[in-house]
Amino acid sequence: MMTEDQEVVTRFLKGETDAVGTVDGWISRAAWPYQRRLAERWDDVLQDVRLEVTRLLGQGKFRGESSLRTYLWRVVSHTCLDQIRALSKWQWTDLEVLEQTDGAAGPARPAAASHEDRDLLMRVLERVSQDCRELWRLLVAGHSYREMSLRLGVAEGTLRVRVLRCREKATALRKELGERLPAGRNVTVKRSPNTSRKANTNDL
Amino acid sequence: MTCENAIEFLPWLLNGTLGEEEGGEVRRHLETCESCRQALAETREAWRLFDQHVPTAALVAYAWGDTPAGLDTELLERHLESCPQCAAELEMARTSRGLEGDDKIALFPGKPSRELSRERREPRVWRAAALAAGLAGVVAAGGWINSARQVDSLLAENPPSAVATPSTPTTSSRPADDGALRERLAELEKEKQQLEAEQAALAAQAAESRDKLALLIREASPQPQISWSNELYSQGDVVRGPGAENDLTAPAGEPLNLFLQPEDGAKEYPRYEIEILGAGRKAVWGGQGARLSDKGDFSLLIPAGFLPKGEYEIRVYGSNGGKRAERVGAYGLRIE
Repeated sequence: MMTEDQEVVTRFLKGETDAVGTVDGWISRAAWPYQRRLAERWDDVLQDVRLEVTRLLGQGKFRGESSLRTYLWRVVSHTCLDQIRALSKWQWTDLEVLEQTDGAAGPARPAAASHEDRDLLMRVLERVSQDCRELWRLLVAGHSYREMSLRLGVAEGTLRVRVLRCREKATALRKELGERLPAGRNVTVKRSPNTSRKANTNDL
Repeated sequence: MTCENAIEFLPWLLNGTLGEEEGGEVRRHLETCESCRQALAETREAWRLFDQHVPTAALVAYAWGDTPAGLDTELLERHLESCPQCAAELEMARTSRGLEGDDKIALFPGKPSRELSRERREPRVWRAAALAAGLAGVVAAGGWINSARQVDSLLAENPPSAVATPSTPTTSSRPADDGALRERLAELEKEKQQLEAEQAALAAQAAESRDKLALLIREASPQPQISWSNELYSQGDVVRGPGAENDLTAPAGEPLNLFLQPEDGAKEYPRYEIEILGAGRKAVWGGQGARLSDKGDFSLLIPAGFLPKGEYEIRVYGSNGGKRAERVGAYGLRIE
């Protein structure tokens, strides 16, 4: 027997106006807290969310483990947060170009890693000073020497040295903590697979 | 280029802010230097490390009160304490979750403008709070009007002569009906008061959440707390001295965020040079390597107190191959 939620899904996929209206209303409401951060991307993101919801429901990803409303609410939150994170990233093109040209080991982008890897990185991160984290946060956000210098009130030359020291410290900490992990939990840093937003929301 | 220089440039090569010329030099150096390639790999690792955040799925699960799979909850909580970005994102997810079960909270459809980041942000919070209060007032008034209409309809069903008003009690010929009406009126009044109380509580809750969210967003934002920002338009030749009227007067002792608009029809260059001239047109600051933003202007952040009170001229020059080319903008600025 078809539950009420499943019925809404079926009607939504058929394009029935009232079901589409209900789902769209939930999407708008669930996405509202993210509106300010998404600024001018808001309309595009809302459209992305609608497409994502249609895709997931069409593929039968909703299995009734929670109510449809809760399921959609979480999908919307997931998609909006992914978009906010993507907006804060800087130009990755250079990274990819470098990856192709220099052939050096290491991931082209800091994307999703294995649980163990992520666990280790987060443990290393909490041991790094807040100053280093702030410095690298600005770097990751794509700020130049000059902007960072103006913002932090520190000379550019000093900044370069600090960035280098922070990197060395983080590398040493990572090595130290990595060696402490028990056998079988060694961390292997490898190029992450294509981790698109859609792949992530499939887990929901 | 030496190894020392190349290694210092690596983070900026990765974040894409290194100019074509410098970037090209670093790349060429990397092609021939094994140790610098190793340093590049380590820089990437550091990048991964410092860009480490709670995975979105875990954050959403945590916001919904679930234990995130594959992540130590204590580690997650410690990370949230030290990472304003994740904390702000969690707060947004929790706000969203709060809306899931409560359809009574009215949402404001206002869309943030493109220029939001250039404006003072504080008043917007108060504007939102004022809007919430206004809406609560409108809804409360609506509830009162609705109650009044219900009373009117009851009155219409019963002759006015049979209704006792609070100020002028009458000797009704229909005491039973009169009593029922009074009772109904009291019920409606009570209902109205309950609704008003609920609306006030919800409006307060919404305003509080919005303020909290705005605060967290500001804390997490990589943008500085800009207290004064404005756009400057090129003046051609800047006139200074007694009686001169500069376009813009900025307050002393506050950080300044200036958006310099190039002259109309100015030729575009790969890089630009900016200099600030003080008294006697003596350069007080200069910088190279500026680039046009995607909005077609230059963003100049000046820390609080960097420029003492006085008149200044800001000049922007196109830069070609590290050499200064033509001037593309000149701006007068008075600090008071």
